[in-house]
Amino acid sequence: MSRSNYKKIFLLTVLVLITLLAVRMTSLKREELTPLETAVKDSLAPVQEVTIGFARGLHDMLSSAANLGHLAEENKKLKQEVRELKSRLDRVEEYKVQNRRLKEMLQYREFTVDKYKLMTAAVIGRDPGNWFGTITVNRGANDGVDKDMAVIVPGGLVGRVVAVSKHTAEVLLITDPRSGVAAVVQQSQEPGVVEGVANSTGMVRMIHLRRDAPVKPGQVVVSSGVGGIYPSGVRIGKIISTENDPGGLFQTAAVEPFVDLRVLREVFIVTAVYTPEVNLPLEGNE
Amino acid sequence: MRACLLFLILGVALVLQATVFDFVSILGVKPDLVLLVVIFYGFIHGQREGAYLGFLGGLMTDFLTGHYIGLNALSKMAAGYLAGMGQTKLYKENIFIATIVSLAGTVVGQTIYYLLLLVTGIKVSLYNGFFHVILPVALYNGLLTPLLYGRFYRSSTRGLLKMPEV
Repeated sequence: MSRSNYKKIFLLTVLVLITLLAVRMTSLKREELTPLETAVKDSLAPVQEVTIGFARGLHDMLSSAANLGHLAEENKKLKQEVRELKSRLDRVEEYKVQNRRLKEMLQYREFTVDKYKLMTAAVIGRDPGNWFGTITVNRGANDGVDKDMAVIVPGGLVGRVVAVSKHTAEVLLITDPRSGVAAVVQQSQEPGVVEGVANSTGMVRMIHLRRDAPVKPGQVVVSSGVGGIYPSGVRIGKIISTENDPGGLFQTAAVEPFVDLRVLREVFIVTAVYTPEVNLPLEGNE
Repeated sequence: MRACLLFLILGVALVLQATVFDFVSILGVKPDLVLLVVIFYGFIHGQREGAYLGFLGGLMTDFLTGHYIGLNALSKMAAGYLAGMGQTKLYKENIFIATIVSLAGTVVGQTIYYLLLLVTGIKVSLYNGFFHVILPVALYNGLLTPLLYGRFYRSSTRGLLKMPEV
């Protein structure tokens, strides 16, 4: 092998080692993003916002066009008119759905006003890959968002904030394999940890359940509040099936999240949790 | 000019992946367009060029993701290098061969990514990794190849992406 080939292999090895070091140093545990990453995220935010808005519009338009194809065959003469009316109807339907969604969020906000302080945020981007499940929302450090704040929707738990730039925040979804949520089975109060499988599956699993714990399909899993990141009692999902771990001590439950995390549009960031004062009766008190 | 255009193509592919592609995901999986561009480029221009573009495209993806910077850079670099190995051995004009290269390159790139996840301590079961991510992404990229490869090839041999003669 020539001298220049050795040099190339040496340089490649150095590059791979430096990159592996970068992988280690930029894990989820670090406190802040580098200025370069913050700049990339902030400068891409408006582009993402416009692109996702355009994509939603196109998606809605294509869906309505697909519906119209069927109508057109039956009503050739009225094709144009029907198309316009249908398009309007679709738009109205879209507004209705949006209205219902926002009303639901507003009601939830009012319902939980004494439990959480909530901030509404719109989803403007997603992880470009298929392994991880993260979303980018249009609220950042300037709005008071901080790392490790929980993110929810009226349907249930979404995830937690893992990185913040000035105008955006990155949310780690509960379906991400890096996510772990302390949880309990609502019916039996059996504790465990809900972790992501691989984002594309859309499923999570509850691990560290005692082998003889009374866990059955159909039971509901909620967050336990242990660990301090996620508030307690937030709905996560429904148990689909259970299986014993090969180790013999625990069982694992497959859980289907209540929230379809692939179609999120708006979310709530929990900026504060109000803990009610509980006065427990102490033994011996009069 | 050529470098700017490649950078732009990777940037657009990345923004599309982070926004629009969720609307066209099949079984929860979306195509890896950045990887596809890297594979095409490597297949047409060779190992070294494929590895360079793979590293650049991967690094851009990593910066947008913001965590574990280097995972995409290394895996896409390997995929670009592998695709480049076919440059002198395979018939580049043939879309069917390009589709096979895309499938193989995507499987390799995603498998290296999976292995790096394990090294980093992120546990994804082999079953879920292979059947819910690696294989569907490879098939999706393979399906997109006949639609995109022809244009990319023409641009790389006769158009704006053509390498300057030395």
